[in-house]
Amino acid sequence: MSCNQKLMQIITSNTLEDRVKKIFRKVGITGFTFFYVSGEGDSGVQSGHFDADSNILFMVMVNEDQYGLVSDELMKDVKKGYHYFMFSLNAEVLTPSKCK
Amino acid sequence: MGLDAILIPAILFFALGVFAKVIKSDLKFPEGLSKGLSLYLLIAIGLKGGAELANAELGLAIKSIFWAAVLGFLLPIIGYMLLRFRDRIDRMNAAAITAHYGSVSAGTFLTAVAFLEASGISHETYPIIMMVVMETPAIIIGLLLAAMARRQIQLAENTGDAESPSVPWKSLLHEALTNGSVVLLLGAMVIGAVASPEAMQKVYPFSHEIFMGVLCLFLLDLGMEAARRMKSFKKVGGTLVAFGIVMPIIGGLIGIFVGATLLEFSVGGTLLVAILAASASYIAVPPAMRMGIPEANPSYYLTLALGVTFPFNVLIGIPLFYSIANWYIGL
Repeated sequence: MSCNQKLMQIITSNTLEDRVKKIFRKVGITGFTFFYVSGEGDSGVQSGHFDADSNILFMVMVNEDQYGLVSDELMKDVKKGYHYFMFSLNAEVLTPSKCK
Repeated sequence: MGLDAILIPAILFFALGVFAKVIKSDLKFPEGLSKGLSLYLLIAIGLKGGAELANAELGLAIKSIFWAAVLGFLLPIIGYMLLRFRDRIDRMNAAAITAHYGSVSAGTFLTAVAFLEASGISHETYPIIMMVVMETPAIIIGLLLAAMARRQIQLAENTGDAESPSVPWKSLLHEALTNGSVVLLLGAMVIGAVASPEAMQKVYPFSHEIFMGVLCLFLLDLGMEAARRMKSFKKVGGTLVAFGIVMPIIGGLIGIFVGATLLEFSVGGTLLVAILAASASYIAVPPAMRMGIPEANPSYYLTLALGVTFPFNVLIGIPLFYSIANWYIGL
């Protein structure tokens, strides 16, 4: 049995890792995946050489309610100046236990 | 002192790193190696410094700590005033950038130690403890300047403070004081100070003999990283690039005064204080600024600290401050 959810992806500085995890906990998200990644953009080169120039990519599967809550919380931070690049994709979840 | 003063392997390897990037070589370090090298260098300098500080004068050590804290608080304020002169740089970026200049670069400090050792010039070990002390005050000043700037912006725009970031002081200060390099350096110093000389002799090859070789590897890697940052000069603009050169000169001269006149160090010790005051942090301060001053652009302060000030200090600042310290102390 599959279900439709949203795959949210958030790219930010790894110094904000705990901040994002705190938001997840606040809206009741208990499972997510993250990777340390490199790249280049508005904040310059993110080579992963030092803590301050390393990025982190969060992948989290959310239902409609959680999607709205997480987006709102992250947007509050964006208005304060924190850099998050967020996007979402519609996903079909195949693992039955993840569809509860 | 001529060109031969900077013709030491450590500095030449730094230049090689820059050159490798300029010619677009595929030279690359394995992931995580540079972090491992910097951990080793901090342990080695901590052990060396601790062993010598065990026999140091307590009064002079306390005096050094006091002046290190003064430098840490004073330099960011000078930097902020320079950046804000004629409104050239906005308040938030000025506060974030200037915090880097009150803190220190361990890489520059170690290069200065290598320069002195290669030239056979002795130096006091108190600057090592000054390096530990100077990591934190600048972060506090940077955050305070940003908090004041935020308030001024809100007053000017007549807005409430609903959207302004509340500075997570507790976690930022905790991070600054328990920063990995601070813990490692302090810990290694304590170990070096309390371990018996016989036991220390056993780790002598680790703490002394391979030190210069590892520093060469570390600077080769930093040379490549600095060259990568130099590509962003256009983005940060002429004013900031000029600041990245002027500020270390001002800091270095203040450092020479503190080292030679207030602490009465030798030329070697004075050079190390000058380098502490002239260098800009690229490890401890940037994460704190990303968290505490999110409005500032990280590419500005990282380009300045790594792409401008670090190469300037390694290639020009160290021999320049040495010559000035030599002249000043000889007056």
